[in-house]
Amino acid sequence: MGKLYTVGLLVLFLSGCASYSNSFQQVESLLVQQKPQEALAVLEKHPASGRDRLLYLLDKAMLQRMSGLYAESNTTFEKAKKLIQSLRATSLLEKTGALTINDSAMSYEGEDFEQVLIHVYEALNYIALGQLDEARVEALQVDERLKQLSENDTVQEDAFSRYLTGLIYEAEYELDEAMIAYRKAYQAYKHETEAVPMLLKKDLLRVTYELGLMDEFVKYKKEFDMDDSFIEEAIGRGEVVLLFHAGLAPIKRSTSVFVHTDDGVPVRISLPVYQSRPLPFTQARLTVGQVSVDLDVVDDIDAVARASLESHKAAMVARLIARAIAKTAISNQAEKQGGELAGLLFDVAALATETADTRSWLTLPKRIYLSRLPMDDGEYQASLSLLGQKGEVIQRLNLGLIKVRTGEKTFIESTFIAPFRTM
Amino acid sequence: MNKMMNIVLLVFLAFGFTACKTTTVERVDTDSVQDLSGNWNDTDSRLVSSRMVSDMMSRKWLTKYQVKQGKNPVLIVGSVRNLSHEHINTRTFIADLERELINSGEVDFVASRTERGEIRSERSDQADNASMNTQNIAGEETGADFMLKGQINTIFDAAGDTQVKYYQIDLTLISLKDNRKVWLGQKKIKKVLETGRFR
Repeated sequence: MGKLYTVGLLVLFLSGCASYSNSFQQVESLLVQQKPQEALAVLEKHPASGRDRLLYLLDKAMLQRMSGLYAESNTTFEKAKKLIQSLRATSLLEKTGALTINDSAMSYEGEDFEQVLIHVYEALNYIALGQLDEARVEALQVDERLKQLSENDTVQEDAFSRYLTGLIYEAEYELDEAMIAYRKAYQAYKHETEAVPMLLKKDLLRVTYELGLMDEFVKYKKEFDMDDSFIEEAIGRGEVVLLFHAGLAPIKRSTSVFVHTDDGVPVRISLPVYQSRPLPFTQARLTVGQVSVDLDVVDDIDAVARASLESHKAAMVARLIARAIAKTAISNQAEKQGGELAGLLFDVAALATETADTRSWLTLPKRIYLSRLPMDDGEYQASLSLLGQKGEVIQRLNLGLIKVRTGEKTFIESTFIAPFRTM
Repeated sequence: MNKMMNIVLLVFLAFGFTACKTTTVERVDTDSVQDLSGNWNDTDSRLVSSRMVSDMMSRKWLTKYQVKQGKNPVLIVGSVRNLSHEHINTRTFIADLERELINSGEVDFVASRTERGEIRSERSDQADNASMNTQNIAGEETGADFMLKGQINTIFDAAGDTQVKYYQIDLTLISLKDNRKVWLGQKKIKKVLETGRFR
């Protein structure tokens, strides 16, 4: 009997730990005020160990890069990669915990798309540091990771990471490698039913033309129904490549639903659902010198995250039902042995611990925009305009003075996180 | 069902027992081989550099040059590009190469492009501040005859719990006079990794 109460109390105690997403609010409010350094300081005050360690590392690395600490950010990303590697082995202990208490008893390993994005952001850090060869290492790792994922199960491709690797190969003057990556990106965008960015269409045409793949060039030209005069304008000139990280990724919330088991017994389970965080603008426009160009959405992380959750929902529901049944069985047993009070205690504990796993990488942007602008050698003032629904300028972000060199790519990045209402 | 509860208890207990671990330190010889993650490590760097340099020193180009010119060739190390899947610290690899080369006694060495800047600024400082008889004047640098360049490539394959890592390191010695390649070296490393299913 004494043992039973101890267990019950322990269960209650465990459920009292606030989830990682809940404790994130302070960091978020600082980010909205465009104070990444302070957000980083707040985050570092509460380093998570154990099951949420990966989330801590990912958020830390992201805040470090937002603060301009690119090398430090990569050190943190490397730690995260090592951790993922070690978590790939199954822990029986955690599995038991997940089966009997809740999914948060398992170490957070990251969704597949999150794991790929680690490479993406590490590559971008290396680009910012001017170390293209190291960015290329990340491009190869993206390749490797996607190959592994495609072997495992239904997981597919990751359009933006493919596109970025193409961009890196191109910056390293490896056009044939770039072409392979662009082709894969094209297939992936079509598959993900995201619109194929105009940028990629142009790149496919330009690179097939440069490599002399005329059959393929004609095929794309017919498919896209595009004028190809831009090719001559782009070849041999310098290029400004802007990556714009806008907003924050959706946040997971817990909702309860009643489902019926195979025997027709109703059980309550908690499922994670995504809550989007809206962006205040509809279009973004880059201006370099006298030239302006609209940005393309190259990665809609909001949509990718939702699709990812949807794809393993069935398996999750099955697991949750199994757990609900196990918990009912435990409480029935407790009632038999320890009387009604014990049974009630277990019911309360079961209800309290039944929360959905709401962990996710929260510092990711909602969307990544990209633009590529061929320019002549020189120095230009650059700015980014965020436009509202009627095309009015909501906000202008100054990108400073940028240098363009003939035959080279100038990479610039910008991050914008707007305030939004939480429900 | 009692069993079930015992398992639950066990789980909780195990959660509590994770903090009991003390740090132990053991000193090891720097020549000892320790493969931890299967990634490129100090042993690889050392082995590759010593093998390749000894190969380079045993080839004809060296004796040919020494006989013809009557002196040791002067070398400079250019870039070693990392085109692999891993973030490899090429600086330690280059340092290993330089050490092996200098210690062989068969070649002379000049400072690389990044090192030269500091030396030159010191020399110009000497021109202003050092006494005449201790001054080193500018314009007396030794020009290199050959440049050593290279790259590291990998092929990576994985299936299930087994991974195969294959490294290929290529070094080229190029004559600065006429762009002739006088020596090509290649070293391959293959590693098979087994990862555990459980932790």
